[in-house]
Amino acid sequence: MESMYNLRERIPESQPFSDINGVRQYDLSMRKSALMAYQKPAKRILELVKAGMTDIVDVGVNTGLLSLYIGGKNPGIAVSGIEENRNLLEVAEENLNLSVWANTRANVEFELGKLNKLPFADQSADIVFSFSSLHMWKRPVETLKECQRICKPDGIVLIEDMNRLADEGHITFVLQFLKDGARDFMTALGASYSPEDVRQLLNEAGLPDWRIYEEDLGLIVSSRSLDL
Amino acid sequence: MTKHSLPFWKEYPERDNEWVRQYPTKHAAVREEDVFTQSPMGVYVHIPFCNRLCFSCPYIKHQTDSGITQRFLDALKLEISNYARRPYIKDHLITLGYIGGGTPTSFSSKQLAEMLDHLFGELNMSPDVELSIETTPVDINEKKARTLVEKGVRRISLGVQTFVKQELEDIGRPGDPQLIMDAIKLVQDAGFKNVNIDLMHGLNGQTMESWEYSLDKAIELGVTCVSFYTYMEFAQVSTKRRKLPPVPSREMVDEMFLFAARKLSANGFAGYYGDCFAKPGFQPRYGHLSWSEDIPIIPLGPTATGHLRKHWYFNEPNIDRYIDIVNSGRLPISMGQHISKEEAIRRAMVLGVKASRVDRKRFKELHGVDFASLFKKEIEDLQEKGLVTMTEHGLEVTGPKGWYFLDNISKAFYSEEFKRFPQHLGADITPFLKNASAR
Repeated sequence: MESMYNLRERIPESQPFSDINGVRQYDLSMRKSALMAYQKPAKRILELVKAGMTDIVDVGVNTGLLSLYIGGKNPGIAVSGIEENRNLLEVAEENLNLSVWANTRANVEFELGKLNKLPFADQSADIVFSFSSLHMWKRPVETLKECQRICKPDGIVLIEDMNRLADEGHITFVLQFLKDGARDFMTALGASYSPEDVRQLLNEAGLPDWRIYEEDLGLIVSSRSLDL
Repeated sequence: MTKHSLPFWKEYPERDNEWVRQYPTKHAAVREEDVFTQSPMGVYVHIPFCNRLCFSCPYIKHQTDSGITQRFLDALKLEISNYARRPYIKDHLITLGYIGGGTPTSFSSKQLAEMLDHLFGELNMSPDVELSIETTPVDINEKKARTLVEKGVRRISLGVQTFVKQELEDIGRPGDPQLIMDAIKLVQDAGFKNVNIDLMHGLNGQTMESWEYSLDKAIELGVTCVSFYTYMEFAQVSTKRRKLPPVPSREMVDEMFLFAARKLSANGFAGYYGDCFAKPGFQPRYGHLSWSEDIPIIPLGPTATGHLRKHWYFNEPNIDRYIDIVNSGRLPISMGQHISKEEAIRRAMVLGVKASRVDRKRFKELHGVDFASLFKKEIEDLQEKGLVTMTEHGLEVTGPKGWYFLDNISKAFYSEEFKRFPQHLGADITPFLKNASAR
């Protein structure tokens, strides 16, 4: 069947989130009407949390919403987020400020840094997660290797982003739902990877055992098999 | 087989001496009215304004604002006139109409009269057109109700949601059950014989007892139709929302539906479209006729949906763009789909089952096929699930279970191409389509 959308070829975004007001607008619209996009990833991460865990790392914090949520649910675990886009980091810091003012129990910290050189020791994190960021990574193969390096041997890496070749019916639904944010959504989707693309990145990173799952609009990459 | 004697012409191998030039034969009396018959048609009018925006309602609507309301009404009239000029429309008689929103009665009674006068003045409206309008208990008064009756509106539907004060407050509706009861009395006194109320189940803190209380009130007030909707809770982020009692469990919501279906049936109501119930003779024909009988519908107003000339489509959702397009002389059509001959047959099933019953003979008259053999596999599967039954006359949705799963039944008849594509939400996504034609 002929495809509806121009999504066959991946088109990386040249300068995503280059305007701070645009990022604030994006963050606000996610918080106001698209929180449901965070629900499944949040649940998956929370289910991975076990007693005795001390460190969770968020690779590409976006505007910090998921880290703040996970941290709030687990005040005993340090959540450290790294972001390389200055505007995203600034809005994440703003959200963190508000959370602190509102007496969050979360132990969350955000930091500017290169995603291909994460500022953490080898085998130091119990859970390494990423949400809605993979499509913006400048050197994805290096970042995947970094995720592997900082993850404890019994830990898990969980990376979720959109699937460029997701079901067109699903894309249509989200497009209709988003209304004003539809253009940015399509640009980000066009910059996202397909399952095949991700398989290739994993092979290049020397991680052929990592799993790839498709779910609704999303693509889930995991260092261990998941019960989905 | 009897051999008929042939009065004049011959059969092969003799050469026939009748020169064939018409068909079909067996000619009968034909009158002017038969040739220039006006087929039935409907209108749907969408008024996208509300005097009060409810946070629990996901539909597209705007705060009533005198600056834009009159400009919108002028555009709506222009759109009506644009359709009315077209020969195809002139060949039809408007027998059905539905005015929805938003809150159509957020218009003043003068504006309502202006709209209805224009509708009746421009289109061939049947004198007994079945015309419905939506309102809320707050946005109706005696003057508006009398204007509507006088101008030809026959059925009114009030968004009541619940008769329980606390439940009303928790969904952000004016929390006075007495006001609702007064409004129902008011429209009945103004001359509306057919009154529908919408009720919601699955509300925060709702129990089976409070649900029964609302149903009892509906029955006691003598309304002729009751429709119910499952409340959908969106992201609970505000503290106010978080402090509300939780919504009932999925199982309880299911049970509430079945309970209401049984209770209303026991009180003389009959089900239609799954979640709507009407006293005998009061079931609106709008859905049934536009879906099962394939009566075309003219969509008027932003996001309005209709189907005409082998297309279903909806109008431009953005109110300012809607006004601009109409003022430029074009119809404000936004997106939709061409209905091929094969898909027209599927459409008649997909929408036909929503009226709970598909008649085999009528289906054949309209679409030229026997749906029972065409969709044998799909129907057998639904029968196995206990959702439908088949008789020699046609398909019947099994109540109340099948009513509850009506949309599942409906989707069983989707074609492979359209499976997994959503219903339209009133957004124009044309710019993102691959083959977006110049617009």
